[in-house]
Amino acid sequence: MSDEEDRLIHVLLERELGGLTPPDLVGKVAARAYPRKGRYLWWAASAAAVLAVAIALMLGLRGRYPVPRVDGRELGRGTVVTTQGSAATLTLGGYCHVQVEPASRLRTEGTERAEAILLEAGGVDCEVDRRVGSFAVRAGACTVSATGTRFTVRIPEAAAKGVFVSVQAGTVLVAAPDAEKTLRAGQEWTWTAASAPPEPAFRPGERVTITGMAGALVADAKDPSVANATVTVTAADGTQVVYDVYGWAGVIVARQGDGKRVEVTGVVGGNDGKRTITGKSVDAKIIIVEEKPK
Amino acid sequence: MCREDSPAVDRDSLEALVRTHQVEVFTYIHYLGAPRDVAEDLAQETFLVAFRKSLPPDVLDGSGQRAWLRGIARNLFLQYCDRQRASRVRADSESVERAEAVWQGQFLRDGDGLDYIEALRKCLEKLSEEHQRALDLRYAQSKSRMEMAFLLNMTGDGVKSLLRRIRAGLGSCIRKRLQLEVAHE
Repeated sequence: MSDEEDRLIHVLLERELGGLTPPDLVGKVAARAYPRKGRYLWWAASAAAVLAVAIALMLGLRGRYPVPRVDGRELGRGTVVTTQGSAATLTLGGYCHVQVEPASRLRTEGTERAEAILLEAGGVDCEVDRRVGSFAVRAGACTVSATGTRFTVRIPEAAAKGVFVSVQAGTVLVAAPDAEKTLRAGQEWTWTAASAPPEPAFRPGERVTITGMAGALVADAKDPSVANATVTVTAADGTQVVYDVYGWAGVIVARQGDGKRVEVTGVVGGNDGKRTITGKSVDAKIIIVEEKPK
Repeated sequence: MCREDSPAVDRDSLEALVRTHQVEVFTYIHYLGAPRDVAEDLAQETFLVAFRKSLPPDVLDGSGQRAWLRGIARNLFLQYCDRQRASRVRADSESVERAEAVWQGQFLRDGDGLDYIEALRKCLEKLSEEHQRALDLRYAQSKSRMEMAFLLNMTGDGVKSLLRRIRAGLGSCIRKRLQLEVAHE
């Protein structure tokens, strides 16, 4: 074996076994690329102080994080919004303004400052103040993440499995099962599922023993709470599969590029209930826990 | 490091570029031989150089962008090695190109490396308990060679060659698996 191959395996073992995750460089690079000018520091500090007072006043007046609203009416999270002959305006967290087109159907998702919707039919025009929080639209098998400000997502009637995305300002990141694309202002893209009728990502109730498929690391079985547990995984199309968890290799649920990008709403261990682990290709959220009978 | 003229990419695009490629760029530089703290610095520099340059029109797809960023990273790593002549990190353009050939030809294989990692995971499961313990001590528990020598009742050199042997076995297993799977496809 060459020194280079030895080094490659050594580095991968550091990551796989040692849990040495690469640092998050986004903020550091952006801060170096767009440094603040020294002569503006005083003004910035003053502005920050004024802003802090303003925010404190607003918080005092508002008291809590804004609840989702559609046309001014309060909604609970997880509510389905359906429009018929006319459009509606959905506001999430006070910073995501979503114009819901007529004949559309969506469900509110997400959490505070990480708002999201699941678009099931029709279209939405979104305007996001990304300084406040993140926003994503799930549509079919695609997830459109706003890293900019104004964009449209639509599920065309003629292509029920397709998703149309158009960006008016800023940038969005579109993650489809077979591609990932960054769209900038003025760009649009239609993702279409493969011509063959898509099979469900998983058969409902299918029970699979994982020995290390590539993709998202859902659970680290070095964690004793994970040992001898099962993980229920829900795919984007709603089908579910139950996985056994064992061994130090963990549970790997999605293989990038094979059309089985999954959103994991699964289970581990029995006690702590919720944890979020970022996998290589998807964000995996572990929600429910069940002990496997010994 | 900031530029005074107008940037080639806006802030949102830069952040998206970093978010998409940071894991591979960092891991790649570390693989070339840079310690982790240096790899982090050089990975940042890689994206800042990319920020200052216009993206060539033929590298708009994901694999093209990755290759372009790796090229920048290699140059920065070589410059770093030139500045650190007293350092134990040694590299020349030939050895770096050999490393790139392995990264591209064996690890990525026209993909994103997940097949290689999958094969590595499968091969790890097949290791003997003794070998799994050695890897666990080295990589999961970060034991030094001398600590491992004490725990495994071996010499320091013995530990070194044991780890090298295990990695060689893994490499052989991975190659076999990937070739088998290619043959099946």
